[in-house]
Amino acid sequence: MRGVFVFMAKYSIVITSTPDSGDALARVLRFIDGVYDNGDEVSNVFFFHQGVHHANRFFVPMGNSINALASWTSVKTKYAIPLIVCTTAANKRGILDDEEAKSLGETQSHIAPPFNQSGLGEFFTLLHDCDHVVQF
Amino acid sequence: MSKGEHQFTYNNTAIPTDKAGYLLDHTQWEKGMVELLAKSENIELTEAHWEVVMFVREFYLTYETSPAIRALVKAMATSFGPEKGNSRYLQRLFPKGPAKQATKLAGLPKPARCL
Amino acid sequence: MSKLLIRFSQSPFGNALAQDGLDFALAATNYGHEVAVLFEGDGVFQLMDSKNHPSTFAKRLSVMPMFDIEECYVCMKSLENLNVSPSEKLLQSLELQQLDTLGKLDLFESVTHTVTF
Repeated sequence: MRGVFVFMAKYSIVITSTPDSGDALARVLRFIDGVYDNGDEVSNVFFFHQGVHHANRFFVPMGNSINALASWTSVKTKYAIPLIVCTTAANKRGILDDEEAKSLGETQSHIAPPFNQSGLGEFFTLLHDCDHVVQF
Repeated sequence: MSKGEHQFTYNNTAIPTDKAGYLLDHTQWEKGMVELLAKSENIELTEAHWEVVMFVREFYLTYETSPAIRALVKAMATSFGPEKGNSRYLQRLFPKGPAKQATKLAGLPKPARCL
Repeated sequence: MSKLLIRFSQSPFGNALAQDGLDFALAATNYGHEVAVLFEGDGVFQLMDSKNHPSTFAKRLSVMPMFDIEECYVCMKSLENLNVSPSEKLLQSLELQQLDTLGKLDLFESVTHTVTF
Protein backbone atom coordinates (compact mmCIF):
# COMPACT_ATOMS: atom_id res chain seq x y z
CA MET A 1 0.00 0.00 0.00
CA ARG A 2 1.47 3.33 -1.01
CA GLY A 3 0.48 6.91 -0.23
CA VAL A 4 -2.76 6.06 1.51
CA PHE A 5 -3.82 8.86 3.77
CA VAL A 6 -6.09 7.77 6.58
CA PHE A 7 -7.83 10.53 8.42
CA MET A 8 -8.49 9.69 12.02
CA ALA A 9 -11.09 11.94 13.56
CA LYS A 10 -10.55 13.09 17.12
CA TYR A 11 -13.56 13.49 19.37
CA SER A 12 -13.92 15.48 22.55
CA ILE A 13 -16.85 14.33 24.65
CA VAL A 14 -18.50 16.75 27.07
CA ILE A 15 -20.69 15.27 29.79
CA THR A 16 -23.12 17.71 31.37
CA SER A 17 -25.80 15.25 32.46
CA THR A 18 -25.91 13.26 35.69
CA PRO A 19 -25.20 9.51 35.71
CA ASP A 20 -28.89 8.84 36.33
CA SER A 21 -30.20 11.00 33.49
CA GLY A 22 -32.24 8.58 31.47
CA ASP A 23 -30.00 6.56 29.18
CA ALA A 24 -27.32 9.21 28.58
CA LEU A 25 -24.62 7.16 30.28
CA ALA A 26 -25.48 4.03 28.28
CA ARG A 27 -25.47 6.06 25.07
CA VAL A 28 -22.13 7.71 25.69
CA LEU A 29 -20.50 4.36 26.46
CA ARG A 30 -21.87 2.94 23.20
CA PHE A 31 -20.77 6.09 21.39
CA ILE A 32 -17.19 5.70 22.60
CA ASP A 33 -17.07 2.08 21.43
CA GLY A 34 -18.51 3.23 18.12
CA VAL A 35 -15.81 5.86 17.66
CA TYR A 36 -13.04 3.30 18.07
CA ASP A 37 -14.83 0.68 15.95
CA ASN A 38 -14.82 3.29 13.24
CA GLY A 39 -11.07 3.74 13.48
CA ASP A 40 -11.31 7.16 15.13
CA GLU A 41 -10.33 8.21 18.62
CA VAL A 42 -11.54 10.08 21.67
CA SER A 43 -9.17 12.78 22.83
CA ASN A 44 -10.78 13.24 26.24
CA VAL A 45 -14.02 13.02 28.14
CA PHE A 46 -14.74 16.20 30.06
CA PHE A 47 -17.12 16.19 33.04
CA PHE A 48 -18.67 19.58 33.70
CA HIS A 49 -21.90 21.13 35.00
CA GLN A 50 -24.14 18.32 36.27
CA GLY A 51 -21.76 15.81 34.68
CA VAL A 52 -19.38 16.08 37.63
CA HIS A 53 -21.66 13.68 39.49
CA HIS A 54 -20.20 10.86 37.38
CA ALA A 55 -16.91 11.39 39.18
CA ASN A 56 -18.32 11.15 42.67
CA ARG A 57 -17.11 7.77 43.85
CA PHE A 58 -19.83 7.69 46.50
CA PHE A 59 -22.65 8.03 43.98
CA VAL A 60 -24.99 5.10 44.39
CA PRO A 61 -26.81 3.94 41.26
CA MET A 62 -30.48 3.08 41.76
CA GLY A 63 -31.81 -0.40 41.13
CA ASN A 64 -30.58 -1.89 37.89
CA SER A 65 -29.03 1.24 36.46
CA ILE A 66 -25.45 1.26 35.25
CA ASN A 67 -22.67 1.83 37.74
CA ALA A 68 -20.89 4.96 36.53
CA LEU A 69 -17.64 4.33 38.39
CA ALA A 70 -17.33 0.80 37.07
CA SER A 71 -18.20 1.91 33.53
CA TRP A 72 -15.69 4.73 33.41
CA THR A 73 -12.99 2.57 34.98
CA SER A 74 -13.57 0.12 32.20
CA VAL A 75 -13.41 2.86 29.53
CA LYS A 76 -10.15 4.08 30.99
CA THR A 77 -8.68 0.59 31.06
CA LYS A 78 -9.76 -0.23 27.53
CA TYR A 79 -8.95 3.02 25.73
CA ALA A 80 -6.71 5.06 28.08
CA ILE A 81 -8.79 8.19 27.43
CA PRO A 82 -8.18 11.06 29.89
CA LEU A 83 -11.33 11.52 32.01
CA ILE A 84 -11.15 15.16 33.00
CA VAL A 85 -13.26 16.58 35.79
CA CYS A 86 -13.78 20.28 36.39
CA THR A 87 -13.00 20.50 40.09
CA THR A 88 -14.54 23.97 40.43
CA ALA A 89 -17.92 22.66 39.23
CA ALA A 90 -17.50 19.59 41.41
CA ASN A 91 -16.59 21.43 44.62
CA LYS A 92 -19.56 23.76 44.10
CA ARG A 93 -21.76 20.67 44.27
CA GLY A 94 -20.07 19.28 47.36
CA ILE A 95 -18.06 16.75 45.39
CA LEU A 96 -14.67 17.40 46.88
CA ASP A 97 -11.38 17.16 45.08
CA ASP A 98 -8.19 16.40 47.05
CA GLU A 99 -7.31 20.05 47.61
CA GLU A 100 -10.73 21.11 48.81
CA ALA A 101 -11.09 18.05 51.04
CA LYS A 102 -7.75 18.84 52.64
CA SER A 103 -8.56 22.49 53.24
CA LEU A 104 -11.83 21.49 54.89
CA GLY A 105 -10.09 18.99 57.11
CA GLU A 106 -11.74 16.01 55.45
CA THR A 107 -9.72 12.82 55.31
CA GLN A 108 -11.21 11.59 52.04
CA SER A 109 -11.97 13.32 48.79
CA HIS A 110 -14.81 12.25 46.49
CA ILE A 111 -12.85 12.16 43.26
CA ALA A 112 -10.33 9.42 42.58
CA PRO A 113 -8.89 7.53 39.58
CA PRO A 114 -9.93 6.87 36.83
CA PHE A 115 -10.86 10.58 36.94
CA ASN A 116 -8.33 13.41 36.65
CA GLN A 117 -8.88 16.42 38.89
CA SER A 118 -8.56 19.28 36.46
CA GLY A 119 -10.55 22.06 34.87
CA LEU A 120 -11.90 23.95 31.90
CA GLY A 121 -8.38 25.01 31.00
CA GLU A 122 -7.27 21.49 30.16
CA PHE A 123 -10.42 20.78 28.17
CA PHE A 124 -10.05 23.94 26.09
CA THR A 125 -6.36 23.32 25.51
CA LEU A 126 -7.11 19.85 24.13
CA LEU A 127 -10.02 21.18 22.10
CA HIS A 128 -7.65 22.91 19.68
CA ASP A 129 -6.67 19.48 18.38
CA CYS A 130 -10.16 17.98 18.19
CA ASP A 131 -12.40 17.66 15.17
CA HIS A 132 -15.72 17.10 16.87
CA VAL A 133 -17.36 17.89 20.19
CA VAL A 134 -20.21 15.64 21.26
CA GLN A 135 -22.25 16.43 24.33
CA PHE A 136 -24.18 14.01 26.54
CA MET B 1 -7.12 22.90 59.09
CA SER B 2 -10.67 23.74 58.18
CA LYS B 3 -12.00 26.67 56.21
CA GLY B 4 -12.92 28.92 59.14
CA GLU B 5 -9.41 29.11 60.50
CA HIS B 6 -7.57 31.62 58.35
CA GLN B 7 -7.70 35.32 59.13
CA PHE B 8 -5.76 38.48 59.77
CA THR B 9 -6.41 41.21 62.29
CA TYR B 10 -7.29 44.72 61.22
CA ASN B 11 -8.34 47.48 63.62
CA ASN B 12 -8.87 44.86 66.32
CA THR B 13 -11.22 42.90 64.09
CA ALA B 14 -10.57 39.40 62.80
CA ILE B 15 -10.99 39.36 59.03
CA PRO B 16 -11.55 35.82 57.74
CA THR B 17 -9.67 34.72 54.63
CA ASP B 18 -9.21 31.57 52.60
CA LYS B 19 -6.01 29.60 53.01
CA ALA B 20 -4.26 31.71 50.38
CA GLY B 21 -5.11 34.94 52.19
CA TYR B 22 -7.97 36.22 50.02
CA LEU B 23 -10.83 37.83 51.94
CA LEU B 24 -13.83 35.54 52.28
CA ASP B 25 -16.16 38.53 52.23
CA HIS B 26 -15.20 41.29 49.84
CA THR B 27 -17.53 43.76 51.56
CA GLN B 28 -15.29 43.70 54.65
CA TRP B 29 -12.42 45.25 52.67
CA GLU B 30 -11.16 48.70 53.55
CA LYS B 31 -8.44 50.76 51.88
CA GLY B 32 -6.43 50.59 55.08
CA MET B 33 -5.96 46.84 54.58
CA VAL B 34 -4.08 47.18 51.31
CA GLU B 35 -0.76 47.92 53.04
CA LEU B 36 -1.06 44.73 55.10
CA LEU B 37 -2.07 42.62 52.11
CA ALA B 38 0.71 44.08 49.97
CA LYS B 39 3.25 43.18 52.64
CA SER B 40 2.05 39.57 52.59
CA GLU B 41 2.76 39.58 48.86
CA ASN B 42 6.14 41.32 49.19
CA ILE B 43 4.89 44.30 47.25
CA GLU B 44 6.06 47.86 47.86
CA LEU B 45 3.00 49.96 47.14
CA THR B 46 3.25 52.84 44.71
CA GLU B 47 0.63 55.08 43.06
CA ALA B 48 0.72 52.70 40.11
CA HIS B 49 -0.15 49.73 42.32
CA TRP B 50 -3.02 51.62 43.91
CA GLU B 51 -4.39 52.52 40.51
CA VAL B 52 -4.56 48.89 39.45
CA VAL B 53 -5.94 47.69 42.79
CA MET B 54 -8.78 50.23 42.72
CA PHE B 55 -9.40 49.44 39.05
CA VAL B 56 -9.65 45.71 39.71
CA ARG B 57 -12.02 46.29 42.61
CA GLU B 58 -14.20 48.48 40.43
CA PHE B 59 -14.19 45.76 37.77
CA TYR B 60 -15.41 43.22 40.31
CA LEU B 61 -18.13 45.49 41.66
CA THR B 62 -19.33 46.12 38.11
CA TYR B 63 -19.22 42.57 36.77
CA GLU B 64 -19.26 40.39 39.91
CA THR B 65 -16.35 38.60 38.24
CA SER B 66 -12.63 38.92 38.89
CA PRO B 67 -10.73 39.79 35.70
CA ALA B 68 -8.42 37.21 34.18
CA ILE B 69 -5.18 38.71 32.85
CA ARG B 70 -6.54 39.07 29.30
CA ALA B 71 -9.68 40.84 30.46
CA LEU B 72 -7.64 43.01 32.84
CA VAL B 73 -5.28 44.10 30.07
CA LYS B 74 -8.22 44.86 27.77
CA ALA B 75 -10.12 46.82 30.44
CA MET B 76 -7.00 48.75 31.48
CA ALA B 77 -6.24 49.59 27.85
CA THR B 78 -9.78 50.91 27.41
CA SER B 79 -9.52 53.09 30.50
CA PHE B 80 -5.85 54.08 30.59
CA GLY B 81 -4.52 53.47 27.10
CA PRO B 82 -1.88 51.02 25.85
CA GLU B 83 0.95 52.31 28.09
CA LYS B 84 -0.77 50.77 31.09
CA GLY B 85 -3.09 48.35 29.32
CA ASN B 86 -0.48 45.75 28.56
CA SER B 87 0.69 42.61 30.34
CA ARG B 88 4.31 43.75 30.63
CA TYR B 89 3.36 46.82 32.65
CA LEU B 90 1.08 44.81 34.91
CA GLN B 91 3.55 41.97 35.32
CA ARG B 92 6.24 44.43 36.42
CA LEU B 93 3.96 45.78 39.14
CA PHE B 94 2.70 42.35 40.22
CA PRO B 95 5.42 39.83 39.44
CA LYS B 96 3.58 36.80 40.81
CA GLY B 97 0.64 37.41 38.52
CA PRO B 98 -1.37 40.64 38.15
CA ALA B 99 -4.80 38.95 38.31
CA LYS B 100 -3.77 36.86 41.32
CA GLN B 101 -2.10 39.60 43.32
CA ALA B 102 -4.18 42.68 42.47
CA THR B 103 -7.38 40.81 43.37
CA LYS B 104 -5.95 39.85 46.74
CA LEU B 105 -4.98 43.42 47.54
CA ALA B 106 -8.43 44.57 46.43
CA GLY B 107 -10.12 42.22 48.90
CA LEU B 108 -11.69 40.15 46.16
CA PRO B 109 -12.15 36.38 46.00
CA LYS B 110 -9.33 34.35 44.47
CA PRO B 111 -9.76 34.34 40.69
CA ALA B 112 -11.22 31.18 39.18
CA ARG B 113 -8.56 28.69 38.29
CA CYS B 114 -9.23 28.65 34.55
CA LEU B 115 -9.84 32.33 34.07
CA MET C 1 -10.22 28.99 12.74
CA SER C 2 -12.78 26.87 14.55
CA LYS C 3 -15.69 28.58 16.24
CA LEU C 4 -17.59 27.39 19.28
CA LEU C 5 -21.26 28.17 19.80
CA ILE C 6 -22.49 28.13 23.36
CA ARG C 7 -26.23 27.99 23.84
CA PHE C 8 -27.73 29.26 27.08
CA SER C 9 -31.09 27.58 27.45
CA GLN C 10 -31.62 27.48 31.20
CA SER C 11 -33.37 30.01 33.38
CA PRO C 12 -31.36 31.66 36.15
CA PHE C 13 -34.19 31.29 38.65
CA GLY C 14 -34.00 28.94 41.60
CA ASN C 15 -30.56 27.56 40.81
CA ALA C 16 -27.03 28.57 39.99
CA LEU C 17 -26.74 26.37 36.90
CA ALA C 18 -26.60 29.24 34.44
CA GLN C 19 -23.27 30.31 35.93
CA ASP C 20 -21.62 27.13 34.60
CA GLY C 21 -22.46 28.15 31.05
CA LEU C 22 -20.95 31.58 31.55
CA ASP C 23 -17.78 30.14 33.15
CA PHE C 24 -17.49 27.82 30.16
CA ALA C 25 -17.76 30.71 27.71
CA LEU C 26 -15.22 32.88 29.53
CA ALA C 27 -12.71 30.05 29.82
CA ALA C 28 -13.14 29.26 26.11
CA THR C 29 -11.89 32.65 24.97
CA ASN C 30 -9.30 32.69 27.72
CA TYR C 31 -7.80 29.59 26.09
CA GLY C 32 -7.81 31.01 22.62
CA HIS C 33 -11.12 29.86 21.15
CA GLU C 34 -13.50 31.94 19.10
CA VAL C 35 -16.90 31.99 20.74
CA ALA C 36 -20.47 32.97 19.89
CA VAL C 37 -23.28 32.74 22.43
CA LEU C 38 -26.99 32.24 21.81
CA PHE C 39 -29.72 32.78 24.36
CA GLU C 40 -32.74 30.64 23.64
CA GLY C 41 -35.61 28.88 25.37
CA ASP C 42 -35.63 29.61 29.10
CA GLY C 43 -32.15 31.07 28.68
CA VAL C 44 -33.73 34.36 27.59
CA PHE C 45 -34.75 34.91 31.22
CA GLN C 46 -31.05 35.48 31.91
CA LEU C 47 -31.31 38.70 29.93
CA MET C 48 -33.94 40.35 32.06
CA ASP C 49 -33.41 43.59 33.89
CA SER C 50 -31.81 43.30 37.31
CA LYS C 51 -34.86 44.59 39.13
CA ASN C 52 -36.79 41.59 37.88
CA HIS C 53 -34.32 38.85 38.61
CA PRO C 54 -31.18 38.13 40.66
CA SER C 55 -29.20 41.27 40.03
CA THR C 56 -25.88 39.57 39.73
CA PHE C 57 -26.73 37.72 36.53
CA ALA C 58 -27.13 40.65 34.19
CA LYS C 59 -23.97 42.08 35.74
CA ARG C 60 -22.05 38.88 35.15
CA LEU C 61 -23.25 38.49 31.58
CA SER C 62 -22.11 42.01 30.80
CA VAL C 63 -18.49 40.93 31.39
CA MET C 64 -18.47 38.88 28.16
CA PRO C 65 -17.10 41.60 25.86
CA MET C 66 -14.22 42.06 28.35
CA PHE C 67 -13.38 38.43 27.64
CA ASP C 68 -13.55 38.97 23.88
CA ILE C 69 -16.98 37.42 23.44
CA GLU C 70 -18.40 39.76 20.88
CA GLU C 71 -20.95 37.63 19.04
CA CYS C 72 -24.06 37.47 21.17
CA TYR C 73 -27.39 36.33 19.79
CA VAL C 74 -30.88 35.86 21.11
CA CYS C 75 -33.70 33.79 19.66
CA MET C 76 -36.59 36.05 18.73
CA LYS C 77 -39.15 33.27 18.99
CA SER C 78 -38.09 32.47 22.56
CA LEU C 79 -38.42 36.12 23.56
CA GLU C 80 -41.93 36.19 22.07
CA ASN C 81 -43.06 32.85 23.49
CA LEU C 82 -41.90 33.70 26.99
CA ASN C 83 -42.85 37.35 26.73
CA VAL C 84 -39.44 38.55 27.82
CA SER C 85 -38.01 42.02 27.23
CA PRO C 86 -34.25 41.93 27.54
CA SER C 87 -32.60 44.60 29.66
CA GLU C 88 -31.85 47.61 27.47
CA LYS C 89 -28.48 48.01 29.11
CA LEU C 90 -27.52 44.44 28.39
CA LEU C 91 -28.83 44.62 24.82
CA GLN C 92 -26.44 47.47 24.25
CA SER C 93 -23.39 46.31 26.11
CA LEU C 94 -23.52 42.88 24.46
CA GLU C 95 -24.67 44.27 21.09
CA LEU C 96 -27.21 41.44 21.16
CA GLN C 97 -28.47 40.42 17.74
CA GLN C 98 -31.94 38.99 17.50
CA LEU C 99 -32.25 35.95 15.26
CA ASP C 100 -35.26 34.44 13.54
CA THR C 101 -35.31 30.74 12.64
CA LEU C 102 -33.35 31.19 9.42
CA GLY C 103 -30.84 33.32 11.27
CA LYS C 104 -30.36 30.56 13.82
CA LEU C 105 -29.86 27.98 11.09
CA ASP C 106 -27.22 30.17 9.51
CA LEU C 107 -25.53 30.48 12.88
CA PHE C 108 -25.55 26.71 13.47
CA GLU C 109 -24.05 26.18 10.01
CA SER C 110 -21.30 28.68 10.60
CA VAL C 111 -19.84 27.17 13.75
CA THR C 112 -17.58 24.16 14.27
CA HIS C 113 -18.76 23.01 17.69
CA THR C 114 -21.85 23.57 19.79
CA VAL C 115 -22.31 23.05 23.52
CA THR C 116 -25.61 23.67 25.30
CA PHE C 117 -26.26 24.70 28.87
